[in-house]
Amino acid sequence: MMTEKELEQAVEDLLVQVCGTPRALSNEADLLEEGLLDSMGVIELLEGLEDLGILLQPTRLPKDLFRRRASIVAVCRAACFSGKAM
Amino acid sequence: MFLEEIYENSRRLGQRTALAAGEQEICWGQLWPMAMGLAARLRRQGTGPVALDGGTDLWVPTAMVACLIAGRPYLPLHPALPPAARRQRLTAARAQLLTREEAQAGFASGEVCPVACDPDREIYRMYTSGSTGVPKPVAITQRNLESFLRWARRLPEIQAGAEGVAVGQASYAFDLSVADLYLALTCGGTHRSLTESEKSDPVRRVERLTGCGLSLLVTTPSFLRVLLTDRLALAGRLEHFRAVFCCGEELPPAVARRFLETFPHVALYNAYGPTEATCAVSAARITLAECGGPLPIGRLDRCAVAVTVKGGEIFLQGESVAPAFGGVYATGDLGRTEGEMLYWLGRKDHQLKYKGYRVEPAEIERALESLPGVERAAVVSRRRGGDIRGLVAFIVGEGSGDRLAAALSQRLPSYMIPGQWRSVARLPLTPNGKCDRKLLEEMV
Repeated sequence: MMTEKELEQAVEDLLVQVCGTPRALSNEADLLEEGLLDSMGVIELLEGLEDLGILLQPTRLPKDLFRRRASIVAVCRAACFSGKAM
Repeated sequence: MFLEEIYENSRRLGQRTALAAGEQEICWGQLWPMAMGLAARLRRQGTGPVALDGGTDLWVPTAMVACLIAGRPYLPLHPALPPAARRQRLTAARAQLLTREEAQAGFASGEVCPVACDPDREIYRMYTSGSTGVPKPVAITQRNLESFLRWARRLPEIQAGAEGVAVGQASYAFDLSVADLYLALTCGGTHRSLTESEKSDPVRRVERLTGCGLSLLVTTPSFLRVLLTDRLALAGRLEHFRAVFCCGEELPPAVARRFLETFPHVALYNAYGPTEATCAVSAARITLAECGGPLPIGRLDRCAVAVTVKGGEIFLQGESVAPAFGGVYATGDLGRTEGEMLYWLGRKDHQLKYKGYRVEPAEIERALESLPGVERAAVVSRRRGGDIRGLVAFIVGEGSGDRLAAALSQRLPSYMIPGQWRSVARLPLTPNGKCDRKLLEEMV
């Protein structure tokens, strides 16, 4: 069972790997707009999160969620520590 | 003769939906008369290829049936193809470009003509990437298509699935669509193409799949992965789902496992075959037990053609092979056999499958090197695990990634535009003086 800090680190590592650049972690980066995360990138991210034990449901996520590192980390935190699939 | 089957289905099935996409529907009773009306006009207008838009609007597959009746090959153009490439193909094929308006006028004409029946006539022509770096057309005949259909319909659950609702996600410009469209049309099912928004929006995707009565899904492994992100929303809600025909790129065992765990009663076929041998020539039904390692792509004794592995390369011989290859096609795919089972081991050349699309790095490199400021270019894949996650371009010369991508998009379809760009002083060479792609891949 991960701590919050470990979770955040794991999600960020995954994000950098999927986007191919540490720019993915910048607070200003709009991942979709800048093409850092394309449609297959979103899929890879969801699969990678599942491997970490975080199951997100795309039909329940707001469309803009994948624009920013901060919102991705936030929804993962909520999914992990509420014990429900989001 | 498959056109006879389509005709009989049209007479027999009346109100049943034959073609669907988004909110559009054409029922079986209308399909043949509409196609026949356009066919009569096409026959009068000429004998050469008829080019059409590869989009999901229903006038397109209806026009394809019209071409089949008229005995003229159709040439589907991918919607993502830039105008210059489109023009080049139209000119090279001396094709008549059919517009939606012309098609619709034909559909309503009420005219009739004899139905073409020469089995060795070309029925469609599709472009596919080749190792010379220039995409080439492949001409497929009625005999080729019937060879594919005879084989595919014998796969357990495929015929039953095609008699229900066959859903496809590939553009008509890619021959994966041949499977869903012609299986549905010959088996008397309903064919549905997913629209772009249904493919990209999770809510619409789930709504459509759970609402349409899906029984057969034809998909690339990439799109199957997209669907699996929806699996909590889909599980238990696809009551008629019987089979998946999965083809176009390597199917990762983890994806197959996830699928079978979610849909244990659905037959999952890992299929293989190049455009040059009509959609697919082999398929293996995958079980959970096999998901611990690389998945087979078929059984040698149950293929559409004779499959042999010589010098490590897969050769295909039989009626599905396009006539241009004189009966035997060297696929350029590396393979191995283990008893009766066939496995894919990669490519002889550098050709890649990215999201199910065939990508020839040489084609992208040629396009890049023709741009001002670019001296040399190399394109390799970025991989994670065994899968291709994107394309990376190494450039010797000037130009920002954004500007090069924009220039490339005038020439190449969007899936061939590299997502990452690196500037290098020179391209590394092997002792033979060739570009050291392995080294570049390691640098990614």
